[in-house]
Amino acid sequence: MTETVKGTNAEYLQSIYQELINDPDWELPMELRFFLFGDVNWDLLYL
Amino acid sequence: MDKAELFKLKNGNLMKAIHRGGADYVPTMVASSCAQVAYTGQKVTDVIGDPAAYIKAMTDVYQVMWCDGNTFAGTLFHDGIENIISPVQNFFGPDGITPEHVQLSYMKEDEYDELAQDPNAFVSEVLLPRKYPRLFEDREYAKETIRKVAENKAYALGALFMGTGQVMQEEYGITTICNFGGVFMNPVDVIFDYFRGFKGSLIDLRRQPEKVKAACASLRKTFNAHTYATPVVEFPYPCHMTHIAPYMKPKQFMEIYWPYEKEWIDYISGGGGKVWIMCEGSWKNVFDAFKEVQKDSCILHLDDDDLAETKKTLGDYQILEGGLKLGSLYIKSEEEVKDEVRKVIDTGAPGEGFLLCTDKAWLSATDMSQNLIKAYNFAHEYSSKH
Repeated sequence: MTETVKGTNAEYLQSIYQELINDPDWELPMELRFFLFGDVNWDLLYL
Repeated sequence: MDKAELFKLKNGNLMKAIHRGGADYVPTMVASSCAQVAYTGQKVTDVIGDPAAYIKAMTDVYQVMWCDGNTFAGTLFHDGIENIISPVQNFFGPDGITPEHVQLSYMKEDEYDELAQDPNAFVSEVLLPRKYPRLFEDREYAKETIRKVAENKAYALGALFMGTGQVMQEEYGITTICNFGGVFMNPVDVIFDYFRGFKGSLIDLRRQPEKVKAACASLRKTFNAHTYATPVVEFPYPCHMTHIAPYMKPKQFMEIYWPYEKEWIDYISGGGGKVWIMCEGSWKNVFDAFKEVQKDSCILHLDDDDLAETKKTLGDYQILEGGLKLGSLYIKSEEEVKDEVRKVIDTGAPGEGFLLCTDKAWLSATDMSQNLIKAYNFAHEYSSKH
């Protein structure tokens, strides 16, 4: 079942970023998760 | 000479040249995407999946080519990203080497008030849903896609880009002078790159300049604010890849673009640092502006501008990089190449503060020519004796 946006898009996206940052099962080391610590929304727009 | 001695020699001389401290020869600089891979007979797309293979392909040429410093070398993206999220602006072309950038702009001409009111909200609430609607329709998809984008970026920037710089230094003594973690974006370039694109920005500057100015002022307080909250690091140098500046009228440049540029330069130089600026296109009508900032606070990479003319205007004020026309290397004989290199050195070297580089970055296989290699080697040889 898909889940869509509750609250603003910014809040929605930030909640996703935070889940990823806090994911202990993700093999990517914390120091390499730098994409999630910057201006992620802007970086997605610039892809 | 072992690798440590080679680095000491090259790095020491490069720093002397940048600080006008009696360099023994004119340093030669790298400015490239991934053309170096062509020297090995491969495509980027052949090796990009294997960091060791990619880095070797990106650096083998330095076994035969003398280079002292690096501005930028390599890809900032992995070609698989368009399979993760679409659309994207950057990918490798059909030859598997030349990077292509197809600008995507999602802001409409009548949305400046919204942008100025809150740039961050405009990005998250208006533009991102326009570009990637599915991210907001399916949270599970959004999370997995963003995860893969983060992994792709970690690979491209961490393993590939940084790894290449590391090998360039450790194996070939080549110092990276630009800090891509400290990239500056002039607010006017932010409008160009993120919002309205080439055509839209230039039209807006003429039809609604006050709206553009208001948006830039708002961007300075938001998106650009972190630049001035970050402590200045003396080396490597923060950098700016300019885009819209050469297309602006000089009066417009001085009124709208230059104040932001000067503010950044003053901030960095005030903290003891220097900046590196890629002056794309021609800046000859506005070069005098760089006399307003601290002497030698800028390393200016010249693109279409003539070295002799620029040296006359700015040679005593700022460090100049460039001089060698990449296009001329496609068609000249070896002797003609040497003549051109002599001319570049004889023009740029007096008074110091000169780094030799090609005007254009090395993007395609044909850029990584025997003439380029010979030109750089001869530049080192000739400038060592004169």
